[in-house]
This record gives sequence, C-alpha cells and structure tokens, in this order.
Amino acid sequence: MKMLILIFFASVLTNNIALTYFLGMCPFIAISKNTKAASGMGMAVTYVMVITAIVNYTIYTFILVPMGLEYLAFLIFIIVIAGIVQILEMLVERFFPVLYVSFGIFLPLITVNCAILGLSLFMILRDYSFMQMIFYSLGSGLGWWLAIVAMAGLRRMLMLSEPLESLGDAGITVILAGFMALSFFGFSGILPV
Amino acid sequence: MGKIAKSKGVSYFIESLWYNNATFSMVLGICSALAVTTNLLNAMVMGISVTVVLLISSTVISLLRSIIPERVRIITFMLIISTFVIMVDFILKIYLPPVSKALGPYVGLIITNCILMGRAEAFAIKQPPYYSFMDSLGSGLGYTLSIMVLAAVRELLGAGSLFGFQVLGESWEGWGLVMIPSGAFFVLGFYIMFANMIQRRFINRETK
Amino acid sequence: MKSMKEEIRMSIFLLVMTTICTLLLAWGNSLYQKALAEKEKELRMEILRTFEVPFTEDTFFSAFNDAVEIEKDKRTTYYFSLGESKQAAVITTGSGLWSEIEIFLLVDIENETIQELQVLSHGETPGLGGRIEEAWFLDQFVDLDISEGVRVVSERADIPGEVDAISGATRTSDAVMLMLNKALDGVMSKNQKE
Repeated sequence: MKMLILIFFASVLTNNIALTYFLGMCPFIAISKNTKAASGMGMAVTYVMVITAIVNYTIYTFILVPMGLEYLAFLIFIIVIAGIVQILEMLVERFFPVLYVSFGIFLPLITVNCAILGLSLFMILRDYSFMQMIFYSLGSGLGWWLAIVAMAGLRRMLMLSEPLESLGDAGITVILAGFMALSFFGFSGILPV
Repeated sequence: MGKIAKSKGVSYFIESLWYNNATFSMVLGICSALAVTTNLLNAMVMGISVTVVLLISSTVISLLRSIIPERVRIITFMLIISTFVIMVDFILKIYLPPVSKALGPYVGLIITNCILMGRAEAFAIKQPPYYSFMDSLGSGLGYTLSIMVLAAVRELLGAGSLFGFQVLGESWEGWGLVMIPSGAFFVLGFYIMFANMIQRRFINRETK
Repeated sequence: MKSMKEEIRMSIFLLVMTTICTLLLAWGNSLYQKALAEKEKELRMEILRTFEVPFTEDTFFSAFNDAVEIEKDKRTTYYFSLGESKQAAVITTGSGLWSEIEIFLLVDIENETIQELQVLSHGETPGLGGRIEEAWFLDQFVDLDISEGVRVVSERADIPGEVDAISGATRTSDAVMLMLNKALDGVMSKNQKE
C-alpha cells in the first residue's frame, strides 16, 4: 500500500509527467494561455490517461504477452487510444453535455498527446502491476493537470509584463516551465523513490 | 519544366528546414527535444530516426494519397507511422543497444511526435511524392539540427564533452543546471529566442 | 446505397493496411529475435570464458549445459557455475532515475565477495548518475565483502561492504545499491536451494 501512495505522489510531484519527463508539451504550451481551457484540457487528459492505461494494460498483459506479440504494443496502443478518445467524445457529447463544454472539445487533440501514449509505454517499461498502474496513471494525469493550470496562472501574470518579442509564446512558456520544474525538483528529497 | 519542378522541391526543403523549422517556428516535437538532448550522440540518433521515419511515412502516404479514404486518414497515418517507428526501434535495439536503452520509450513516442502527423496531414496527403520527400527531409533535418544544437550546449556545459569526448578538460565541474529537466526548458527557451532573433534580423521575414 | 459502398471500401482498406503492417512487423520481429539469439550466444560464450571452462564452436552447446545452470527472475538472469569454484554471474536490470540500468555482476559465493561489477547500459545523467560507469566507482566493488549486503554511503566508506556513492547522484547511487542487493539476495537464496 505504501508503495502505491509513493507512486502516486511521485508521479504528481517529483516525477511530474510534464515537468520531469516532458510529456504532453505541445498542448501544454498551446493551451496554457487561459486557465479555463487549461483546466479543461487537464481534465480531459486525466480521464483519457486512466482509461487508456487500464485498457492498454489489459490488452498487453492478457493478449500481447501470452502470444509473444509484444512488438505490436506501440501500434495497438495508439490505435486503442484513438478509438477510446473517439468513443469518449461521443459518449460525453451525448450524455454529459455540461462536461462536453468544459473538456469535450479538447478530446480530439488528445490522441497525439505524447503523454497518453507515453504513460502506457512507461507503465510497460517499469513492469507495474495492475494496482500500481492505476495509481501511476491517476497521479500522472493529476500531475499534468496541476502543471498546466499552474502554468496558465503564471501566464496570466505575464499580462503585466512584456517579455521579449523574439521569445514568442513558446519561448516564454518554456522558460516559465523551467522555473516550475526547478521548484518541483525541490520536492525530490521528500520521497524515497 | 523539370527545372521549375526541381527548384520548387528545393524551396519546399528550405521552407521546412528553416522558415518553418519544427522546433523554433512551429514549436512541434518539443517533448523529445527536451528529453533526449542531454548528450549529442542520443540527440543525433533520435534526429536521424525521426527523419528516417518521416521520410518513409510521408513518401508512402503521398504515394497512397489517392486511395486513402477521407474518413480514415488519421488512423491510416497512425498505422503507417507506427509500423515504421517499430522497425526503426528494432534496428536501434540491434545495432545501437546503449543508445536504444538511453532513448528508451522516447523512440516509441516518435509516433506521437507532432511533426509526423502534422506533415502527413498538411502536406503528404495532398502533394506528390517528390515534394513530400523534400518537405519531410527539410522538416526532419531542421528538427535534427535544432536538437543537436540543444544537445551540444547541454553536453558541453553540463559534462564538458561533445559526443563523449572530453573537450573542456578534466577540471570542468559540469554545470548541473543544464542537465536537469529545468535546464532543458531554459536552453530550449533561449534557443527559440536566438533563432527567432536571427530570423528577424538577417532574413527579414515575418516570424509567427 | 452509396454510403454502404463507401463503408465497405473503408473497412477493406483498413483491413488490408493493417494486415500489411502486421506482416511487415512480424518479419521485422523475426529478424530481431534472430539477432537477439546471436547476442545471447555470444554472452554465454563470454560467461564460459569467465568461468574458465574450455570449449570450441562445436562443443559450445554441451559445454555450456554441463558447466552452467541458469535461473531467471523477472528482470534478472543468474548463471551459476557448476564447476569447482562456486561462482555466479548475474545480469540484472533495474530502474534508475532516468532509465533502466543493466549491470553485470560476478559473485564468489564461497568467499561471499563480489569479484566484478560492470555497468552494461544506462541512460542516467552524464556527469552525475552516469558516473556509475567510471572505473573509480566500479573498482570499489572488486573483492567487496557482501556478507552483510552492499551499502552505498555518502559519508566515507570504511566498513567492509560499504562503497562511496556518487556525490550529486544520490538517486542513481541508491538505485544501483537496491539492484545489487536484490541480485545478491537472489544469488544466495537460489544457491541455498541446491
């Protein structure tokens, strides 16, 4: 149990999937312009991450490995992710219209979000058990959400200052991310992971 | 006729190599630009891998562009890109095992590298193979050059070496900051800034 | 009617594409497995040499089976020498900070020491965790007493079984310590079973 809690907090704080492993950077930079969109994206990412992790884990463990087809993992994972995102989009639009407004519109963009595929790949690499995978995916999703919302908050503050024009949106976001990563790095003494 | 076609192809190449450079203009493929740039060798291998997959998949997509049904084109792109990424992964695992292990899952993440999907959707599906090839070559090399510059800075300042060869002498302590994730962000930020400055000052074109 | 035709066309296209891709990958995988088998063979020859067992290209297979017993855990392979000297060669992979670290360990079971430690591959930070592959770090493990396990410490190592960690690379040093002790436990417990 202790291990599970450690995995959870590690993936939110010390090994934050966006700030330590650099996953999901494209939407991170593009969508962090306003807090509402950032929160919506974060929500979408978290849901998709957990669901796809569970499905991919099941397929990998019970179909691919026993049949010696591990090499098809990349292919199967990305197709599964695309499919789940498609289904999720339809379901949310149909049955939870309120939610659709807050995060449904981000769903199509998520398929190519490296964080989703990356999470499945990391979970295979680290050989997690089912429960470990649940905590890992939940923690990673929430960690990404936290990072993008924090970034959106920071960028709002930027309205009062004028960063160099050459930096552009991307440049200043990336440098801000660097400072955020630095402060998250400070957490690394806390956990024995 | 042939002459015009050639210079058009070359202009596509230069366009995607510099003006629409994946890293500092279009800001694509950032995830890997941050992750694999701790040393030059890894960056170079990653860059070449991405370029190879990009070239092959764009050309294949371009060749098949008339028979790919509209509604399933994204899935088709994924199938094609994933297949070649897995092949490249095999090749790396066999011929360059230490680099393969160092790059780890980031090779698989080439599938979601926005450059590939972006080029397929914006270019390969509409243009004939030769132009697709040139465009991909430019994008791929632009990406490779960018990450190699980043890696060179990080490896030189962080470990005093380039490609593993000690350049700055034994006494160089190594600036730890550039080696940790924060450093990756900072170096990338400054790279974007300098690249854009150069573009605006000397090329006189509009930046995005 | 027309959309039905379209749907069928789409499905056939996808089916054909998927089949071609899967076949391509299966072919690639078979080549890959062959290359892996080659590598495993070379590794086993190297292990025979380490255990000082003579062999030739022809006798390799039987020589290996007579001289070495293999045990496998999830991420570890143990090669126990069946000869006079009680040795074990261990290849194990563990999670470092950034990457998987693969190490080769040669253990003298009789005298409870490590004879050799090698880092086969890693993706740790060059200049920090990456220093685990440097000679000064690895040499500490030669003839290291492991009766009480291995301890990688940040203060000066003076008790048998202690080695110096890499300053600035605590997590990687700890990861290596964890891997080593796990492997050593595996060696000792599997050795008992015989």
